[in-house]
Amino acid sequence: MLAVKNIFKSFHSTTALNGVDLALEEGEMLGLLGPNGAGKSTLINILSGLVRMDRGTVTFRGREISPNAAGYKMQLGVVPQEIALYQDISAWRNLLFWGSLYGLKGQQLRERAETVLRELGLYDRRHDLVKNYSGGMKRRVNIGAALLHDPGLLFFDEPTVGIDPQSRNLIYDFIQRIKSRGKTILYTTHYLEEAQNLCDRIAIIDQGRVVTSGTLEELRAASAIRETVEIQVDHPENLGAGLLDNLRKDAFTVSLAGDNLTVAGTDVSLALPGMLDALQKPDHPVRRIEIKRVNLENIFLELTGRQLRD
Amino acid sequence: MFRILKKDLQLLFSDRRALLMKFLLPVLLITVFVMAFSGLRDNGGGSRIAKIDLPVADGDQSAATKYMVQKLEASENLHIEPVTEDQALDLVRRGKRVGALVFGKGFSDAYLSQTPLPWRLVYQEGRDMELGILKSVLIPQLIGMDPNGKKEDAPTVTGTQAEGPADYIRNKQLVFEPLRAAKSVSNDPWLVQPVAGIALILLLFNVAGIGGSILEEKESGTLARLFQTPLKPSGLFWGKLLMGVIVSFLQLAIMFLFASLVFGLKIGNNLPGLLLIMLATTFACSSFGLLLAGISKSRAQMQGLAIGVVLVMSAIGGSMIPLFIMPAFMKKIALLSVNYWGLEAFYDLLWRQLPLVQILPRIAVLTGIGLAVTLAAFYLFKKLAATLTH
Repeated sequence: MLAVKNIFKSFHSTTALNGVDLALEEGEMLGLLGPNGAGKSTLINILSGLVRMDRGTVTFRGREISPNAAGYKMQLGVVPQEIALYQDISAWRNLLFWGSLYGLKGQQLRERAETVLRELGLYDRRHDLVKNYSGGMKRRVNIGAALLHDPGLLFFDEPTVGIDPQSRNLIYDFIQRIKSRGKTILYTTHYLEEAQNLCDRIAIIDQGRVVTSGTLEELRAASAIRETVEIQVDHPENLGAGLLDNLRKDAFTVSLAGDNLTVAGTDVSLALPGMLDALQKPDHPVRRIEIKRVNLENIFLELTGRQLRD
Repeated sequence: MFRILKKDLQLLFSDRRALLMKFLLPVLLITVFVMAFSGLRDNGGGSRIAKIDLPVADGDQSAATKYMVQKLEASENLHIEPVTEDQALDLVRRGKRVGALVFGKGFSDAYLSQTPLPWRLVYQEGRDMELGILKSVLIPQLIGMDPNGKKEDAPTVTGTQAEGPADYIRNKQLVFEPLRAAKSVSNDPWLVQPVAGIALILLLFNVAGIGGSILEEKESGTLARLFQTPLKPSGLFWGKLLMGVIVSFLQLAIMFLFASLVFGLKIGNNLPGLLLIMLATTFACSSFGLLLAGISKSRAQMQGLAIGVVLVMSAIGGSMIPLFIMPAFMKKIALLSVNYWGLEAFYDLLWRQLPLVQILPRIAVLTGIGLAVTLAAFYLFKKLAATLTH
C-alpha cells in the first residue's frame, strides 16, 4: 500500500534520515521501533506531508506521490505525538472541526464524531472542555481526531507517551479494533511491549536507518541470540574469571551487572547444568535462575549495541 | 526568592528576540514621541511651533489686505496658502486645514471707516487644541501689524485713523466662524472624537489577538497538525484574516450601535459609507496582526511587537499627539499609519458629513495599506510554515 525508498533528510548538519526503505502492505500494522532521536517522527512527518524530504520516493497504492498532495492526505489519518487539540473547546467541537477539514459535514460528520467518541469511551463527556480531561482522555481524543474521515492508512506517532497504564490499555484495545477492520497502520514507539503485542511486523530504526524489519518470529530467527539465562548469585565478586571465559568459549554473550549474571546465545539452557555445577560452591550460591526467550530488546541490543531507552 | 529570580532571568534571556523587543521598545517609543513633539522645540526664547498651514482668501485684494497677507507670509510660524474663499471653506470643511482666514470684499473701506471688518477665521469645530495653537500664532501676528510701532510696515491706506490697526483689530475682534454640517445630520465633536478614537484603539488592540492566535496554534502543536490535513496553508491564513476582520467588524458595529442608541450618535445618514470605512479599517488592522505573527517567533515577541506597533501607530497617526504640531517629516510618516486614515475617515463621515465619494480616497488608502501588509504577512506566513515543514 505504501512504500518509501531511499529517503534522506537532514536538519542543518544533523542527518535525521539516512536512506530509509520501508514498505507497508494493505491491512498490516507495522511497528517502527527505535530510541528517541532515531528518526521515527521525522519519517512520520515526511509521510504526512509536514516535512519535506531531501530526496527519496514515496509510493502509495502503486503510484509515486508527493506526501503533500491533498488527495493522498484525504486517505490518511495522523495521530501526532503531542496533544494537538483545542483545549478551550469541547471534545465534540474538536472532532467536528478536524472532521470538517476532510470534507465531512452535516449529519455524516455528527454521526462519525458520535461513533468515534463512543468507541473511545468519551461520548458521555463529549461536551467537557478538553483542558478538563485527564492526560489519557486527551490522548484518546487526539486519536479520535485522526479517525473521523475513516482513513485507510493511519500513522500513530507514539500515541501512548506519558499516560497511565489504564489509559494505555484502553488505547491498545482501541487500536486492536481499528486494526481488525483492515486498516493499514504505521505505529512508532519506543515501548517494546507495544510493538511486540500490537504489530504484525516490526522495523527497527536507528540513527536514521532501518536496520532490520520483519515479524517478531523472523527477527528472532535472524538473530544470533535464541535464549537468555539470568542467574542471580551471592558474592558475584568471587566469580572466577575462568568461569566467565569458559562460557564465552561456548559462543555465549556473557555480562555481569551487580549480582546478575546474564548469558545469552543459542541453546543456552542446554548449558545450564554445567554452569550450575561450576557455580554451586559455598561462596556464591545461586539464588534465582530465569530462562527467557529472545525478545525485541535483545534483538535491538544485538543490532545497535544500545539499549532501546538509551 | 533568588532561585526564582535566577530561573526567570534564564527564561528571559532564552528568547533573545523578545528580550531585544523588551529593551528596544522604550528606545523606539521615546524616539517617536520626541520626533513627534519636535515641532514644539525650544527656540531660545521659548517654544516654537512648526509652520502651520493657513489658507488665506483675499476677497478684497486691497493694499491693506495684501499688506497683511504679506506680513503673515513673513511669519516663521505660518505657511500662507493663497486660495479663494470657496477653496478655503472646502479645505476646512474636509478637515485638510484647521482654519482659514477670509478677507471679505470691502475690508479696506471698513478699515478706513472704522466699521466692522468683513473678515473671519473659519475653522472646523471640535479641533479645539489645534485651533488654540493656530490662534496663539495668528493673533499676535495680526496685532503685531501696528503702524504706530513700525511706520515702514504700515498698510498703504489713506485717511486719518482714530486708532491704529492693532487697536482696531483688538477692539473689532476677528470673527471666528465654525464650519459644520446642518444640525440635523451632524454629530457633536465631543461624541465623534471618543467614538472614532476608541474604534481605532480597539482595532489596534485586536492586532495582538489576531497574530497571537497563529502563534498559539504553532506552540500548541495544532498548526503542525493542520498542515498534515488536506487544508492548504493559504486556507489557514485567509481563515485567520477573515476571523480578525469579522470579530473586529462586529465589535465596531456594537460600539457604533450602542453610541447611537445611548448617546445619540447619528450613524444613519451614510450607512454604506460607515460600513465601508469599518470594513477597510478592520481589514488594515487585521493584516497588521498577521504581519506581526509572521515576524515573531514566540508569543512573548509578538506581545512586545504589538505594544510597539499600537503605540507607534497611535503616536504618529494623531491619536496621541495632534498631527498639527508635528514637524513636516512626521506628518509624512503619519500617512503610513492606519490610525491617521481611519480616524480621518470616521471624522469625514460622522462629523464633517462629507459625501461618500469624498471619503472613498481614504477608504482606498486603508484598503491599499491592508493589501500591502497582507501580502507581506502572507509571505512571512509561508516562511513560518516552511520552518515547520523543512
